[in-house]
Amino acid sequence: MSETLKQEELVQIDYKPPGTGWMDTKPDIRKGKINWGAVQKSVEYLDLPNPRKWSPTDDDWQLPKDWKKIILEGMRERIEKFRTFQVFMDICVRCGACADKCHFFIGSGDPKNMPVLRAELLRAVYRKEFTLAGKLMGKMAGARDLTEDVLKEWFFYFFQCTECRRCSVFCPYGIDTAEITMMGRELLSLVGLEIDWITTPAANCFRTGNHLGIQPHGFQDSVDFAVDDLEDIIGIKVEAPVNKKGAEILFVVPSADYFGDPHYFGFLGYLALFHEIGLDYTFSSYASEGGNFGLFHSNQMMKRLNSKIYMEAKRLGVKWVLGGECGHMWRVINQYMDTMNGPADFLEVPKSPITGTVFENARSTKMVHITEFTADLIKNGKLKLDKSRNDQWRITFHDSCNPARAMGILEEPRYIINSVANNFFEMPENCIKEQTFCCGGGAGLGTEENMEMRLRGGLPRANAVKYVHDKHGVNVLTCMCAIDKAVLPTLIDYWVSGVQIGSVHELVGNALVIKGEKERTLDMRSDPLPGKEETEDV
Amino acid sequence: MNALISFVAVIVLIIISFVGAQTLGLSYLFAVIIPYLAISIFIFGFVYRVIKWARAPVPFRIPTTCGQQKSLSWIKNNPIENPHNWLGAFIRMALEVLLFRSLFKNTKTTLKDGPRLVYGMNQLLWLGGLLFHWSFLIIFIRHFRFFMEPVPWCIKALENLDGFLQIGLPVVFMTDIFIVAAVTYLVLRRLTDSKLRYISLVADFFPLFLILAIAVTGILMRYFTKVDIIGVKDIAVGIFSFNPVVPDGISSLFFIHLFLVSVLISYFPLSKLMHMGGIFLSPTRNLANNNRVVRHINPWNPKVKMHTYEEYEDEFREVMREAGMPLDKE
Amino acid sequence: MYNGGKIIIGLIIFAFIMTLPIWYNLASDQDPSLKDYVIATKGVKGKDRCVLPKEEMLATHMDVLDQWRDLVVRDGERIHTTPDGRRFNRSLSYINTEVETILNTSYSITAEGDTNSTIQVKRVKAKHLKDNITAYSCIECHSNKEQFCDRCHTYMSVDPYCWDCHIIPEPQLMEVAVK
Ligand code: SF4
Ligand code: SF4
Repeated sequence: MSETLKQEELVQIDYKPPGTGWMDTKPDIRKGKINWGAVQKSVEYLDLPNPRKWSPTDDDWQLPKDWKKIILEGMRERIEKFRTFQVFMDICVRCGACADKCHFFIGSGDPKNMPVLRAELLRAVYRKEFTLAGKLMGKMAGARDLTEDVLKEWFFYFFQCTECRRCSVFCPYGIDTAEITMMGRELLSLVGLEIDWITTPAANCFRTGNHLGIQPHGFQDSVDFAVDDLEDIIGIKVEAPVNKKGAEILFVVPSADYFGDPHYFGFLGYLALFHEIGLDYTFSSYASEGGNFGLFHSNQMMKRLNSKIYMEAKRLGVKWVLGGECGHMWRVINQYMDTMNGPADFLEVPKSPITGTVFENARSTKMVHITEFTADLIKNGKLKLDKSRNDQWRITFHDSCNPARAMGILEEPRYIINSVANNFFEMPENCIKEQTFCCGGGAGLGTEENMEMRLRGGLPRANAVKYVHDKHGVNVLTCMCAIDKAVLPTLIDYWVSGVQIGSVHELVGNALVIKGEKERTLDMRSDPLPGKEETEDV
Repeated sequence: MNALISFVAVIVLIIISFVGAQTLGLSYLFAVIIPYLAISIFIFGFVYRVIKWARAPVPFRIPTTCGQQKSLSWIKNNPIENPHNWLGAFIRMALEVLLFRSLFKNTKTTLKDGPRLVYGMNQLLWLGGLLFHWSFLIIFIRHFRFFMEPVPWCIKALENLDGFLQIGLPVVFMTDIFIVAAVTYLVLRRLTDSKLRYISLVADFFPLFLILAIAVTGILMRYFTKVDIIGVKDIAVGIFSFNPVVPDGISSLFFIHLFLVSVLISYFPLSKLMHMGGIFLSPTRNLANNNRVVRHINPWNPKVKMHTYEEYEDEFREVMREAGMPLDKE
Repeated sequence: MYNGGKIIIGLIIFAFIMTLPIWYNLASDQDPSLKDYVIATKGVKGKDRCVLPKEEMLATHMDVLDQWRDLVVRDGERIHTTPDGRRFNRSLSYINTEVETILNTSYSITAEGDTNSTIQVKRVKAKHLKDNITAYSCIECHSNKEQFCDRCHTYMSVDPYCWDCHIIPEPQLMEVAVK
């Protein structure tokens, strides 16, 4: 689909709002800007309401008869349960500071993609039903009746928000439109308005442990493949235990890491690293997905999917848990896991068996981020690294939304990259760290049918990459997020060309000098290493 | 349109108070009853709204982190933008409330040819907002000279500070100039920026016009058409010592001023002006990012249907056996 | 309620600040209002009315004084004549009193030359003033600063800088004038 969209047309963005007021402007629901409704089977598997065959492009969305009552009840319940919801509904002053901070607004110019209006969609109904001013003064107070059209608008715009939280950085009250979107999506789910790229992966994760629905033996195969591939590169067949009881550490990665490209190269990096330091760890086929599509669905779904990690850690009897490179997985681990499924009192406070470092910052959750772990190894001089093996790359780093704005893991990956490679270039200041721009496809929106919005929403990110590409000849964009790695290739190819997407641990894998390895000629991608091109030919 | 409605509404309020106090001679209503009502609505309404918020739990600890987390000892963390304890969160909140730190970071995005996105500095709103709020606060406190007898030294000191330029007679207060300038700016930006015009409701213009009218009537009384301020203070002190009086001969300008203030404070708890209280309760700002160190408790942590390993193994036992994977039950 | 402690403390502080004037006035235990204030004016014979009616004076005396100051200092226009022909001295000092004092003093010439002529000049000047002016200044009617100026100024927390330059008049001098 991206081929049919012309760049020149896409960048004709008109930031002037339409003449009609926003309450009177209908959304343009069409392919390119929407995600397909969830398939019946997945909805049923997860016991969610109103399973049926439907599409957002239909006129009739086959809502349950009492949909309005369900939604309003749902709102009431959430008002009582979430202080965030109430406070954020009440205190926005419409100052507009968040307006041009959303990548979807920047890329589309659609005023309802300004975070403030996205939230107003919900707020207008809230005012009408739950506030005195709204009841008394109606439209004058910005109140609006909940109608089917309004509901459709919710669906359209709450699935045009990647829950990236960039808006909340700039809001003087910290109003987090991502949180409002999450509420909106929970409400939509109550009447069966789900999108397939959230519900089906969630159903798969629930059943098989990973989002593509790969069964245990498939998982085992993937790991075995990776071990073989790595053997071709380093000449050593490493151990990669699965479901091994009594291992010291349970290692959980986003499932794309073992069958997605370019994630896979980072996965090889992990395997190489763990072999080199002799880590006593295990994968789990049951908890083979750290990524949590439930985050994009509802707090309940998040909890259901996340519960596997602790349950499995307990069953396997590990001491603590290590987590791979993933964005929304880490939002869940950092901000939700312990609250939802803890306390993890059957685990020990994580301690690196190699350096002895105790990860005090994970004292309660007992789960450590792989870049924290690796940065500690490097700092303590436990790894022998040959930076020149990454000289084919001119590197920049994309902070993924969740690790940046829901965790603040900014320096660890940078430290690692700078330790394993020579050519690192930052993107401009307003596009990195807490101000980083989303890939445009997070929170379940990385689909084919949503391509136009993805490309539009990804414009700010791609534009910053283009800047360092033109200026410094950057040819790889590294990141530590499975969704990024899945959606950025399309995006970057479209707006910039000649920039690959890579993992932090792919670079680690390249640079790592492993005891007993054969003379390295290939990098993790099985491409020749710099200076080794000829050897290939001979 | 929304601006116009708000503007007319304020004009109507002015007319009501003018006619009411002047022509109909309802000065007792305007000088005593309405102010008492307004003050009660303000205080009780405010408290009610905050308690309503407080009754909702904060199920998850979701601070927006704007800096490096505290992790490994040798990595420099940002204790304010990504606080790891209450002190950091406290400082973060203080900076937010007192200096509008988040707003200070504001940028303006422009799309240039290329396409090239440029993010420029944009501190105008921050400046306008800060001037407005601080001026409002100082003016509010200054007014305590009308409410209190004897006037405490600190209020005098604040007045002297505010008027330290010693221009004009009576001495011009800087905040009087600032507040008019800032409110005018805040109105104008809503009218001129098409995005803002699009999102602005009646409820956004109304308080601005109301405050502008309050400021202008106040300034008129102080600098231009004098009123009998002894009488004014008698009314004010009377109210605050539950001994209300209404002296004769007080200019209707004062009644307009007082009525508009009464409307403002009664409107306060019903409206977005509650951001004054809400900012303190915003979970993305007032919590420390120490989720992995201290478990946050969700009081309604729900029971959900989980998929256990046993169920999983039961479903996949055969394929697992074939793949040589370890099994719990043979 | 969740985080109730902190929120309640916050609310108490809020309510306390908002109602501070009530507690303060209660505690200060003073008759809080000036509603029955009288204008403390001794009055001088034949000078029973001020430059402007009382209400106007109340509201605008600061402007009157401000204008007067400029007139005197910049243009030397010392005398104010009301529309009905009454004359006042634009001054915060006991001008009239001073004049009379000089005239009524019998100076003994103890030294030679200069002193004598200085006194002579002073007398001539004073005589001249008396003959031509006989206008009273503010203070000569409103002699009690504490009662007349300060009561309201303190009540309203107004801090005029009149007395930064002018010497605070001593009421007893007034006696001379009234005689
Ligand atoms: S920045 Fe915050 S207060 Fe301002 S419009 Fe956006 S959400 Fe509302
Ligand atoms: S969370 Fe991100 S995508 Fe959603 S409104 Fe805010 S900036 Fe836009």
